[in-house]
Amino acid sequence: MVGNSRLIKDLPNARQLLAGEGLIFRVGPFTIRATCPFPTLRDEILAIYGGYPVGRPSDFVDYHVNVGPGTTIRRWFRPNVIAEAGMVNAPFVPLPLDIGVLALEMALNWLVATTADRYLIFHSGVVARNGKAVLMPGASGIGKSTLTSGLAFAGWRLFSDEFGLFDPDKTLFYPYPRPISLKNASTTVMADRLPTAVFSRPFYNTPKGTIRYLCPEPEAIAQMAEPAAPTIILFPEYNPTAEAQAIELRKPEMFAMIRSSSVNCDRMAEVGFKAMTDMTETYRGFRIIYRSLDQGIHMVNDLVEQWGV
Amino acid sequence: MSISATILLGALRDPHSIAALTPADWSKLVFLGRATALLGRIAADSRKTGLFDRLPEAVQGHLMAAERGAALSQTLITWEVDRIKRAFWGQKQRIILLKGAAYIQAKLPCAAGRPSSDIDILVGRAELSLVEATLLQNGWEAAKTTTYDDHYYREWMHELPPLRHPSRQTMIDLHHTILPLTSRLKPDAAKLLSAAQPIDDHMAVLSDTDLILHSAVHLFQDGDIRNALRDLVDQRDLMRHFAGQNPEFWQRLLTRGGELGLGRPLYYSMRYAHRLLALEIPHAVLAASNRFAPPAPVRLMMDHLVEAAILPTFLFETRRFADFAGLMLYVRSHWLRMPPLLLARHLTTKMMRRFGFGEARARP
Amino acid sequence: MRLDIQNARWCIPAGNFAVWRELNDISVLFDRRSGQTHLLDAFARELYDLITEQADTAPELTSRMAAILEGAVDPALRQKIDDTIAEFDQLGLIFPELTEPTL
Repeated sequence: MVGNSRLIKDLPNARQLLAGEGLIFRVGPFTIRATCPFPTLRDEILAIYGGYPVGRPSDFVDYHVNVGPGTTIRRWFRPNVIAEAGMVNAPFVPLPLDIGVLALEMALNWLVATTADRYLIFHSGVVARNGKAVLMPGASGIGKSTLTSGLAFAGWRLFSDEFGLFDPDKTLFYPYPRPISLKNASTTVMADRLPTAVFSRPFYNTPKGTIRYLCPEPEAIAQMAEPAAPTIILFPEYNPTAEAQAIELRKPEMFAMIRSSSVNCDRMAEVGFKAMTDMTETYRGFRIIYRSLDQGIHMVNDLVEQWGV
Repeated sequence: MSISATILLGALRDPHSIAALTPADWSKLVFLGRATALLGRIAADSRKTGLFDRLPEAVQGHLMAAERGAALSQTLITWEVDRIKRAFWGQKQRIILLKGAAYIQAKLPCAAGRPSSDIDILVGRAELSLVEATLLQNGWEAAKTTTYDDHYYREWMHELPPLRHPSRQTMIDLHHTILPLTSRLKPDAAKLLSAAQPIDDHMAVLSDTDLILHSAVHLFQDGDIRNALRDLVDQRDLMRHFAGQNPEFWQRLLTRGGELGLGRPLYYSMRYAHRLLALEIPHAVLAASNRFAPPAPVRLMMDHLVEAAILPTFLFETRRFADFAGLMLYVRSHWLRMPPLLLARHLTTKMMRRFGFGEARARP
Repeated sequence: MRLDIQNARWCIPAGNFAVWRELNDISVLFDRRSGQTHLLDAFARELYDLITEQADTAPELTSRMAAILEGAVDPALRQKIDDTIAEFDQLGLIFPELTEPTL
């Protein structure tokens, strides 16, 4: 169904919708309705979401987000934007208009992380091939997004560079292929590596340094309704000065690492506990330390070849 | 009233009505249900009516999420109650649970799908320092740290600064009466304490009538409108539950309201639970409650303010009047509970702090 | 209030709330009462099971553990039992049995 839907970039009135009643589009299992009163920001949102399928006004909308003016008096001197999503305790902060697209991205991350509790959510990159999804949890800044995007353009299907969505009833991972958020050094690494891919312009001086969004391959979006079963679980660490190695984790250690990478395991309570212990018992887990992106990609391919179930 | 608010009220008035909602209606209902902390309740109702399985899959996902959020919060509340019992092990200290913790522990219908983040407890004023000391000895810590806050709480409010155990998230608000000391209404806390009903060796809850009166005071006098509609749903459910057990309940409730000097908030609670949430109240009871009614112009103003402030606004609808109404209710309720000079002092201090002149506030 | 750990009889609170999984030599416990997850090594697991079998005081539990380990009740074992009991109590896994009169 998603594959045949119209894409935002083919929608002549996408700008007007963003300016008015809301642009409805789908990312993975979620339908999002976005509005934005700033013309320049509308263009930047369309630039990174052009490849996503459009929803209809009669669709159920999971998340409503308005990226509008901040409320402080300063906005008359220095325009700033803030996301609004109707959530009482949302930690959204005003951002300069120039990096306003981050407000939308941060809001969508936050909404999913705090309300999508039908899934056990991992802070993790996920890619899949042949119906098997590799979970790659990791803190920010250790190369998770870079490795995920490298794999996503080397024969793997991007599920997400940020969230692994695991449905504990169906025991499947669900894709949520938002634009990949590349940071600092990896913005130039990936731009050199993928000359034909679609990138946003660089956003400088963001709270996380320089950010550049990389749009997933069209196939990843076209197939984003297709889930995949778990297989091995990898904890990647990019380290150009260390010796490359894959270290298999003992089960208790693997459980502890999986659990600490879960965003909502407290809210998932017993359901989450059972899913995470099942996962630990069923699949192998490895720390992988790699010196270069190519090496990392090779190690993932080899480990899946050898141990994937 | 906006269309979105009508959808939300419809679901709360008649849980069967959700069967007729379109996906676009659900977009609004999920949004507003979450904004009002009532989505878990809507989920619980949909399980009870058996409609859950017939809902769109994406909607089911949000309802499941809300159920899980409410379940976790209830686990944490029950757990904190257990830890309090442990702290008072070997002591003959009776502790009265209020609001959410009480509904959960007494297994009342309004606990269904209801998230609660704090525990409110009530003890006699004479026992207050002992209870506070016991909690502090057992690892709880004062959560608010500015001296002005501390002073404000102790001198003018009906509670101590909240306590929190550093290894857990739940806040404990310790009260010795149910309204601020400066409030014009001065319900006799001793009457509430002596009517409380034990639920185990340590814990008790307010009596049936007092549960409702307390919630009504909290909403219509104390001006806490953060979860206003949820509070009104609590009151509706409590009245429905107790009146369903015994029709004599209505008479006792009115009498008790008068006795505690809480007739006015009770009047509002009955009026709006009836008007907005379809609470069935016998005609004679409704007529009898009129003895607590305000003068007609005030009532008219309240009808507008309460509707506007209690009902949430959908993101893409204008909410200017709602903000204004919320502010009016806040000022009004502050005016009701603090003498004007104190109020001016409090609001000034608050404002100074907002603009950065106040003490830095350390939040754990 | 400080409980005298030596005199209290420790019990597992009533109700079916413990969900166990074994991962190699570690027992993983999900406690439905608190919503918390705990990792127990073999010693802690054994002590937990002893308390489950029968509520007991720390000295009694020490004797029972010594019997299982086929060793003597030495100060090191006593200390380890006391520490583990204190930790269980802190986590709310065990409760002193209520012998106090009801109010």
